[in-house]
Amino acid sequence: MIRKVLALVLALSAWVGGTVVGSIGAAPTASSVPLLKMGRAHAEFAPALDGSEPIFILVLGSDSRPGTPVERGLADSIHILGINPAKHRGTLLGFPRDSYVPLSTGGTNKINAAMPQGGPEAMVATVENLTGIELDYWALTGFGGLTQAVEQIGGLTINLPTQLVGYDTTFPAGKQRLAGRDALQVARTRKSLTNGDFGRSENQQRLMIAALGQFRFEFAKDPNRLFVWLGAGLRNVETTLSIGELSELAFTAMQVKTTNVTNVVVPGTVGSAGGISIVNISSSASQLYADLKADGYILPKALGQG
Amino acid sequence: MALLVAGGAVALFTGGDDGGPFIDLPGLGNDEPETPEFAFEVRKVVPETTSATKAKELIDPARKVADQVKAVLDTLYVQGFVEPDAWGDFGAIEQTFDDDARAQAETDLDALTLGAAGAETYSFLQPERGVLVVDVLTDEGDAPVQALAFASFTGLAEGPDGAFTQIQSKASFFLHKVDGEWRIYSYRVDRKDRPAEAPATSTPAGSPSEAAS
Repeated sequence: MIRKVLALVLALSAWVGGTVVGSIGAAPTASSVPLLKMGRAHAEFAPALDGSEPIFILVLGSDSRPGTPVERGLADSIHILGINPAKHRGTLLGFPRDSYVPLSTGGTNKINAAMPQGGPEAMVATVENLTGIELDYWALTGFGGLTQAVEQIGGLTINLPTQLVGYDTTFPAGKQRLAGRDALQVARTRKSLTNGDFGRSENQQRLMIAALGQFRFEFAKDPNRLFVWLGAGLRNVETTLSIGELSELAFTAMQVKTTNVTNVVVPGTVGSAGGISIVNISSSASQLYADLKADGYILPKALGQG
Repeated sequence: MALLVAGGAVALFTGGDDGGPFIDLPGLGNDEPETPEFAFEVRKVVPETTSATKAKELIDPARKVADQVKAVLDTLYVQGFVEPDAWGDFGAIEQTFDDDARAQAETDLDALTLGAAGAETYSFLQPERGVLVVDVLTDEGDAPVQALAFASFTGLAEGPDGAFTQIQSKASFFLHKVDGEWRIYSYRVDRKDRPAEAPATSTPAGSPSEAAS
């Protein structure tokens, strides 16, 4: 059975709604050298997360409204986060919610329908069957969770490549600080995007990478931010795992620079089935799955980005 | 000749109390410095919750944790910096780390303590200041599960040549409970040492001041 974990950074991901050396020698020549960075040290301390084996986490955002169990909503944000702890690299592989795939609960339907039918476990099984990647953990939250969590960490800074017209706010291109409600809007906006569901998935990934970068930055300045982010995450995301496991994952995630995280959405074409709009995932996606499965990340050059 | 040697030996092992020739050999004479007392002062305790409980409601259990964390770090700093017999001995501090952290900590002995060669470089260290700020993380049932201690320590070390060095250690220690005991599982330590003047009021080796707190 899959282990359930919500990593600190991943928790934010899921919220994205729709997811001395002193002088040992002669005293007069004393100097100051920081000897040990906590992240590096902890990597040494956590063999389970420090090996060459990649870690795969399914990051889910539910469309359930406040008062409704998040695990019974449609999974409108679906991403595999792969991490290679040894190489300090990661990749976010997103799936349009309308992806038309065989569900673990039976039949073929939009991928997001697996969750109301069987909860996060059904989503895990569906994605595993689709990609051949064995997932280690999952993370899940809903609209309220994302909004509140971003508020509790004091907002999230994102860099949008183009202007984004949301439901009631237009977000300019460039770097900006988002409040919780704004983050949710960036994560959910689809209709104003030329590439619709694909573009929305990309924006969700931007929020996740922004969260990783912000957490790394804040932690470097003040280690206490680990507790603050853990608190914000655990108050707004469901988990059955201990805080110790979460902090291990957080320490692992801290070793991954944002520039070493590749984000990609599975390729596909818009079509229809039974009168509903769907996305047919392209056969070329199988290469992405294999690449990600091999070592936990996809290099930009494999995507024609580098 | 044999009498001279015997007499010298007597003088050596008695510290020359008979008024004969005095040979100051660290560890043998009566003038060997006494180890100063040291304990951190817990300056601030901050509960961090992961439940809906307000942090201020958890201050009492957080203070208890802070006392336990202080005891762990008292051990680390006394053995690592203050107690000359323990300088350079990882075994004296290893119990303050959890099993996974020990191997890394042993390689960081020069940052975590006065140094592997501390006993050769210094003969005495007088603690000057030791302050802790402790954050305590509680689980969804409001039980303390992790602690983060910011430690600031300074001391004045004297070398065998009489030169003084101010030793400064600033560190962040993450701790969790292992078999009911708080143990360090991750840390960041910065050591900063600089030459210092001899204390204005001479506190010669063997005349320790009061504990830091």
